[in-house]
Amino acid sequence: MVEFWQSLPALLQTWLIGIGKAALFLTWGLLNFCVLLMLDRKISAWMQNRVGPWRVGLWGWIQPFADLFKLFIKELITPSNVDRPLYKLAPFLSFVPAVLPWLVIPLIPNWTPTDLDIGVIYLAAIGGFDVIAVFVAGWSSDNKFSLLGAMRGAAQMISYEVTLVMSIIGVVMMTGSLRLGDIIAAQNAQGLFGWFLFPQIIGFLVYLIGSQAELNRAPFDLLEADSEIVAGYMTEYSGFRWGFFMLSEYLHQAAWAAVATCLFLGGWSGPSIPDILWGLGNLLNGFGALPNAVGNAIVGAGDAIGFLDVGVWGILTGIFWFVFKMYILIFVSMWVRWTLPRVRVDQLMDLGWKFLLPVSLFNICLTGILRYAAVSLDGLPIQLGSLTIRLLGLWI
Amino acid sequence: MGLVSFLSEAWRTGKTVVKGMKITFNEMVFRPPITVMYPEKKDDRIPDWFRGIPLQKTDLRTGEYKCTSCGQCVEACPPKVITLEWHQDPETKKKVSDRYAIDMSRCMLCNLCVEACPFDSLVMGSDYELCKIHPENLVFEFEDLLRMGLKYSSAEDPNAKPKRGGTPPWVFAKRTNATEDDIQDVNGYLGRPPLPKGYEPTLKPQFQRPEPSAQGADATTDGEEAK
Amino acid sequence: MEQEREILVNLGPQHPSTHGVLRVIAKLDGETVTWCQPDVGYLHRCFEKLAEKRTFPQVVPYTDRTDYLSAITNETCYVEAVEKLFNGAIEVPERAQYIRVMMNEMQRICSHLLALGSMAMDIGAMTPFLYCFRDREKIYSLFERITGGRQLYNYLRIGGVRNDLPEGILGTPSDGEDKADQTLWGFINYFDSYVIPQWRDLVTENRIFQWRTQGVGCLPADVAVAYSASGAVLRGSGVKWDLRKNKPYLIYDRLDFDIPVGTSGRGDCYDRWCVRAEEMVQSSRIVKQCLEWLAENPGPVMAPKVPRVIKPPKGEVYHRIEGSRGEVACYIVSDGGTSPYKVKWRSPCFTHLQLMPYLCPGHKVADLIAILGSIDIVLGEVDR
Repeated sequence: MVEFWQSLPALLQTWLIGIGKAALFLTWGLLNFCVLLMLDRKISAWMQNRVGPWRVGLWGWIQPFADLFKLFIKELITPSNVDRPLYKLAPFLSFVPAVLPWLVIPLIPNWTPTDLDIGVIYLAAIGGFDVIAVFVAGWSSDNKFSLLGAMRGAAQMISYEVTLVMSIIGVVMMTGSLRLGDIIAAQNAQGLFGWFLFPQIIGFLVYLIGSQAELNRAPFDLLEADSEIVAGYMTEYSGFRWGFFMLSEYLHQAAWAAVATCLFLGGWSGPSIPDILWGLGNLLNGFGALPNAVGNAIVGAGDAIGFLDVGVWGILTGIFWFVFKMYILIFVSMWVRWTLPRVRVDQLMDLGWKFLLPVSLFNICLTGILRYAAVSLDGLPIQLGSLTIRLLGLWI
Repeated sequence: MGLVSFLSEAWRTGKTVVKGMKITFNEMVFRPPITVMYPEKKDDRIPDWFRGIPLQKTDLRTGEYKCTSCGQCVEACPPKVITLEWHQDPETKKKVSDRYAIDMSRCMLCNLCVEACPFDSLVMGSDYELCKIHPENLVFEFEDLLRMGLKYSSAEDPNAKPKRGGTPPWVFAKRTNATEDDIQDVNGYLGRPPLPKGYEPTLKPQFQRPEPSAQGADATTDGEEAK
Repeated sequence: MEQEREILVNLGPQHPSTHGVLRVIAKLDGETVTWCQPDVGYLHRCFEKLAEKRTFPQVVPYTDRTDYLSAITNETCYVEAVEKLFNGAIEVPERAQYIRVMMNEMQRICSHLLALGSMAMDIGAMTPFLYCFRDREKIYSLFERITGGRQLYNYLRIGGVRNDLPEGILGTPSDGEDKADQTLWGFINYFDSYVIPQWRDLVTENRIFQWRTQGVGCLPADVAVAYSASGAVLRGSGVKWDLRKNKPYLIYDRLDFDIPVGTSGRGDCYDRWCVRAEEMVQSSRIVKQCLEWLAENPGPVMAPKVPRVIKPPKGEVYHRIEGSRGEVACYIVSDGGTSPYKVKWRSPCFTHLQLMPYLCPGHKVADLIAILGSIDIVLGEVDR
């Protein structure tokens, strides 16, 4: 097997590896989509005192597969006056930027499909690409409602792109590198409170709001405002073309949540089971000051399963914590979606340009000042500076 | 100052958003869903007098239907969905119904027919599941109405005097859950036309009384008319 | 050749947020509405012509179906009008009056819950709509016990009500939420303690909701009066006019309640929303007073000596009541026969729809939907 592999020309090897990676994260994307679709419907149902999908499979959790199957076998109706090449291209245009961010996100600890040194810039660029799909879909549909939705969408997504990128700059300043792997390593270096969530709380909140807007989710879902413009830019799409739009919307959501996990929540860092036991045992032992039987027993249990801390198990732990944090952010996003009413287009633009952008610029200034103070003055000021930041994070 | 109003607006918005989110979180976690898993579970708290489709009652004592084809319900019905055809039976001189049908696709469940019936024959059943594949099947004929109305039928007391005042019996109908086996007359059958006055039924063994009581009111579980 | 800048958009009869089958034609300049016109008639069912062919009691179920979300108020209007035709020969007993008032106010709560819920859904918050139906279900269960019907009742009769309240429906003032769908006191206590604060916190005080509705669709008081607005639309503009206080019918003059009025002076959507929310609170006050009276005063619920065949003397009558959506009025001409000669139904929603071309231009498409939600139309009533 290995000889066969090494006998292949290098170019073919690269291509095969690339196709393998693509298959991997396409599968990951589809799995995510299925879970997210169900989660959206179930969470909205529980919040509204009902049960959501119930009949398909175990308590309804196989519903997305049934939905996907139905969408596959549906007729693809193309209205007669649409701009055909653009109409058929738009779903793909919206799918591609949903999958591309996964290239640089370190889902598995210390491994990305493509290790780009400019990870953050790459993500910002990809985010901007999504606008084209919306606009192409709305324009080519030959429907006034779609056009309205597309125009709103273009304005909205471009505005919030700027804000999103500004909110990430604070993180980049604290790390000094654009590579996502480096950002995670910088957070891991200082344990739990090293997560950039605490010093960059303003940036995190701006990112949350901005990503809601970027993803067209309530309270910013003007693009597909059901009660106003029917389905917005997706009105004229049926069958699996519409399914593509839905797919890309949920994949986008997962991608931006994953990016937030990397940048603000420490990526794949998190205690493994032995770590938890050791931590608990140490706590009960008073960090070595007051050893007692229970604490020692727990520490001993931690030692016994210490193998779960390294190797394959370590990787699995990393993946688990990454996915866990990602889904907590997704849950918050859905929670907000089902609570708040929609803002109007001009209010949305006000919010983006007049509120979020100044706040994110202020965040950048603040980070810069504090970093300068911490770095340029030796000794006590550094300790004070980082202690302040840490206290600030603890307090918030 | 601009900055102060900026910050206060931001604070106010954030506060109301968090308050709203707390409510939805409460609803999600602490309050159970109110969905009733229809059709496996039906909400059985509906009262017996829920206005479903109008049905015809049977006198379980003799098995005859109580409808005398008087036509009051036909006149009372606003959308005119009741069809009635009758002839006169030469022996008993009573009207025998040839066709009594209600078009349920048009019936608006208004209850006026039940109120108009002087013989307490029509009753609003609790049936509300009326799906049929062919719309013609939504015209319910007399046998269907009688069969479905058995649930509300009871054995009538031939000597009872009609009650004056109080809530009329057609308002709070009571379900008795009777079936065709509860027809007491040996010769009785579902859809039996009205019998001559003074007819004494021959009761089936399970319905015979060891001693006749003065009022003739029976205490079987077929249910009792509110006297 | 000059090209038109404006696009003509048709929010057609099938649209997720028109409250029934309403068609709104609008001219948009970008996102701004420059002209709009509603187009009605898709739900016309010839109610007024039908009424001429039916006897007086047979018309009552048809009146239910005009404003089907607030059925008892329509029945009240018609039945009271016919009783007026008799010039005092039919005297409705007091208990029946109290039951009518109680049912009217419970129906008002029910209808306002739906108005608020569907307006919230139009604005984008999907969850309050489901909460509104959760509470409406409880009212349906209660009305089911009283009348037999859940949304369309045929309960009021000329001369009283069909039947007295069944056993146990009143409950005791200490009933809690577990009895909310079995006893009236249980529902009112649950409503006051849980539902009203929930609506206030979730929607009314939500800043995003206020951004959407404040300053939108401003209706000055004089314009509202000129357009014959009534109900919450009129009171939202600051005019304190409520038929229950100004022209009392039934026994409203004996009851103690306030009339909420819009406070901001602009008469915008937010004012109308707040007026409706506050009206629900006042309705629950009225219901509580009625429940106390009903618990202590048994009696007949039907006027004595109402003839079996209703034949009012020749004459005509115009009777108006405060329905949930505004002033519902009924003009009946009787020629002494068993059927009315003419029934004309004045529906408030039809009058309010005429405000759309006044209110909408200058606002955005999203505001058009908000305005449509705030004037609270039901197409069954608009088209009859």
